[in-house]
Amino acid sequence: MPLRLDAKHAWLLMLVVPCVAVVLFAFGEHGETRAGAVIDVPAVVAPASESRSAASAPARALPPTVAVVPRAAVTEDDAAGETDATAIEAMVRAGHVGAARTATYEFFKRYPSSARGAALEALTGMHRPPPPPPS
Amino acid sequence: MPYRPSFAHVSLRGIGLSIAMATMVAGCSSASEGDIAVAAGAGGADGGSEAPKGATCELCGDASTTTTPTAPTTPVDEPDASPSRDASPDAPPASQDVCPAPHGVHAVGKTRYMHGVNLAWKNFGADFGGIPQWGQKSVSQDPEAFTAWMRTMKTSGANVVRWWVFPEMKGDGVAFDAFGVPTGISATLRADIQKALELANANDLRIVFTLYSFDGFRPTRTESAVVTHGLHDLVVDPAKRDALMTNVVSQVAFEVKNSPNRDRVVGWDLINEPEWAISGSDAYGDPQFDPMPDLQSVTHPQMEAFLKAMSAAVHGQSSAAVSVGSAGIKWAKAWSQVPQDFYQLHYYGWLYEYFNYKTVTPASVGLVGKPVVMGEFPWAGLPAVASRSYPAVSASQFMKDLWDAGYAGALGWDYSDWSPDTVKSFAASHPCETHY
Repeated sequence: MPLRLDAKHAWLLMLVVPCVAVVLFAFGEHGETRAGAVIDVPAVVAPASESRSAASAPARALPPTVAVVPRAAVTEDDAAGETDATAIEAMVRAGHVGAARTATYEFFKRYPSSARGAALEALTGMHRPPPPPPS
Repeated sequence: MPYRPSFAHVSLRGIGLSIAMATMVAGCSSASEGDIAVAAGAGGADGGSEAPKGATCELCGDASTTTTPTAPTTPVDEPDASPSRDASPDAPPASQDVCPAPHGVHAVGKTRYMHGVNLAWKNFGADFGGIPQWGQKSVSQDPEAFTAWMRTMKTSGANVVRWWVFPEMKGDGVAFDAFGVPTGISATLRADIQKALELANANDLRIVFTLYSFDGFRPTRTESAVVTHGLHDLVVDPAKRDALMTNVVSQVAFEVKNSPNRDRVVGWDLINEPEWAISGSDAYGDPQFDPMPDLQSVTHPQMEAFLKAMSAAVHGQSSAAVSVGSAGIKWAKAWSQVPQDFYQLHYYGWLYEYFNYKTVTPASVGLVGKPVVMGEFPWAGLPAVASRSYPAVSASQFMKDLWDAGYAGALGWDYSDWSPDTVKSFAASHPCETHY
């Protein structure tokens, strides 16, 4: 039996389906690291008039401009940190350097041996935190 | 396949982040608004306040108080200092300077290019004062370790070392009363300063002391029996700020002045990258500040008043050149009203794309009339910026470019991952101009 929709139901479907899709995607597992932490990727498009401000970064695709340091073996730290490191680079390009530095600080704590750490430090100027105090 | 955030996802999370940050910033601003007028009006109103005395130092009660200073005064309203300061009464007159660096920083009778490295700490917040509860020793408690570092620096061509004193105030360096008011510095800290200068002298190195850092704006907290005193209240409360200047900053500078090796200190960096702890904008037309959300930020007028007071406190005791370790040329005018003897900038990849150092120069943003030192840059070099076709820049190339552009020095970050060959090579190309 063919599916038949009258105009009223069709309108309902058109409204509900996209909303459900957006909610599922926004609150799903996307963007969460394997460590369970979330690093926000800001989507801010600053006014183009601030030509010299980092905040004027135009919206664009997010490939990293910081080369990933080649390494002989990929550790679990590296794999887990890869997503976070890429998100931090995106934050810098979007002009959120302060937030990116805080994220880098947390990155160093979470992935102390990540091969991406040196590149992030050179990018953000955020240095590695001291080791945790003895318990 | 790597995760790529969708627009919808990014927007929702971004909105959440924005609301949280806006709330935090609004809270900080409203909480401290009342202090702004007071701070502005009190910036030195108590000039000539009584000097710190040994009796106020809660940690100096033992026999080691022999180094208690003899009442240094803290002229809070001292006018801007001369760019040329001679730290040593025994230094030869400037006319004997056989190889002045073209745009160098003047100290100990010589004008030199500050070539070297950020030490910057061996134990964060413990090099000066120590943290006995954590088993972290200070310079005077473990001089052999620091000696080895400094010997290596010197043999690798470094002449100036940027060394952090209070990146955070924790441990036994500074005493506080029950209300969070700093009351003095410890005998250990005094001994550490003396030992640091002694080691510098033994290894023919010069020091730029970095007194504070944005790190200090993390909240006051206790970790494993050690209290870390945040800077926020000491900046926004004029009474606490004055106590810090009198009982700590003046005391540290006086301890240097009191040393037979005082001419080893060629510069003071009042604070490292204060911009990361400032919300809002300055009044000089710079872009809005971009504070780190994990810090307790203050307003620019509050930070400016803090730095003016600190500059006066240091200048009151020391003839070495004073600077502010600015996070970058993006906020070039932020410290234009703080008395400094040389400007200091830092440079990392985030600046390269929008503030290319080859086109955005100190002169182009109004930083003129004083030497400009690059106080930090990464030994790893600058990453390429594909969107603008900017190539990666090695540290050695960057250092050469800074020299050619008329900078007064370059101190790489940091000793733990430096490249001795890079440092040695540059020193070899300017052997006299880089050696005080």
